[in-house]
Amino acid sequence: MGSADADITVTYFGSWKCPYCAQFSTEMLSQLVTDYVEPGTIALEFRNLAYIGGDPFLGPDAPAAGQAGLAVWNTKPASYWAFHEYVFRNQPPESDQWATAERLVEFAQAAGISETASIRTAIQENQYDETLRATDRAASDAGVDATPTLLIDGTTVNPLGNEERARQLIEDAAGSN
Amino acid sequence: MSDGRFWLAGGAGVAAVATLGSLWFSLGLGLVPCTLCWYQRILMYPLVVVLGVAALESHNTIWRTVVPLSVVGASIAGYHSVLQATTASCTFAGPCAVVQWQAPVLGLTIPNLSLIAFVLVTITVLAGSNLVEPERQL
Repeated sequence: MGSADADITVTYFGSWKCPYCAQFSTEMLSQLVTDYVEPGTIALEFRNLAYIGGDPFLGPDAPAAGQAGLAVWNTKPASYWAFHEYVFRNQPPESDQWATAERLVEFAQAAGISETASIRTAIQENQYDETLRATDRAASDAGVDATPTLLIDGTTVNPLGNEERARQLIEDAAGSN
Repeated sequence: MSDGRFWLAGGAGVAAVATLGSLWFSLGLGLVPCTLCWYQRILMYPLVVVLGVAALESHNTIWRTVVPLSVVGASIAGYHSVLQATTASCTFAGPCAVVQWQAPVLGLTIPNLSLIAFVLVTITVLAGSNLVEPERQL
């Protein structure tokens, strides 16, 4: 999200199944958006880590959640962030294998998305598998070792507990451009 | 029952509650034990039998068997508790830092309860072994 003219893109590496990502996405993220995305300082992208080193991360159902997220992003981009916030606000316990097609479609409908066939298709056909695996490689290349992680101008930071550092990195990156 | 056997029976009771509680978490609530949870289970489960038999048979040297298990268990539970309290991310190494369940009272997590159980077992076995009459040679 954010202006296409923003010089800096901050990448948020997260997982639909990670409770700390739910905490970040529902608490701190909106303030960062207000402070840096809305004024056009940065653009922000979310990349979901369904796989780590080729294996599903945080449960065998993680890839299905990743498929659903990418299906919404690719077919209903205007509804994507509403979906993002709804899922994280209503995220079931991490120990549950909750990311089924039924549950993800329910979440999408509750987030105001009426056309959900693309979500089912994506999950059934593993449509965005290559994208999910590319995210695994990108995280590995960037030195990401946990979620949530923000990648700001080549530097990684866990925004939870390091909010000041995350803000400083954003401001430094903005200042140098 | 002598005071010593009473203490040992109390320790066996603590270990039994911890064992049944952990089985309830996994079989009843369906929580998946992480690696550190498994180590704590391996150290706790045998204590039910070890302390139970010691209480029945008045073994005053049973602390030599129990303390190595309970102290290592308490150390792992302590480390696990600190990990939960200080981690704010899902690390790629494993899910041990995630809080899967919290007690309605005081918000104690499963490793917190495990730590309490291992400490209680250590106290009861040391008190019990000290109070048990020395075994008579038959």
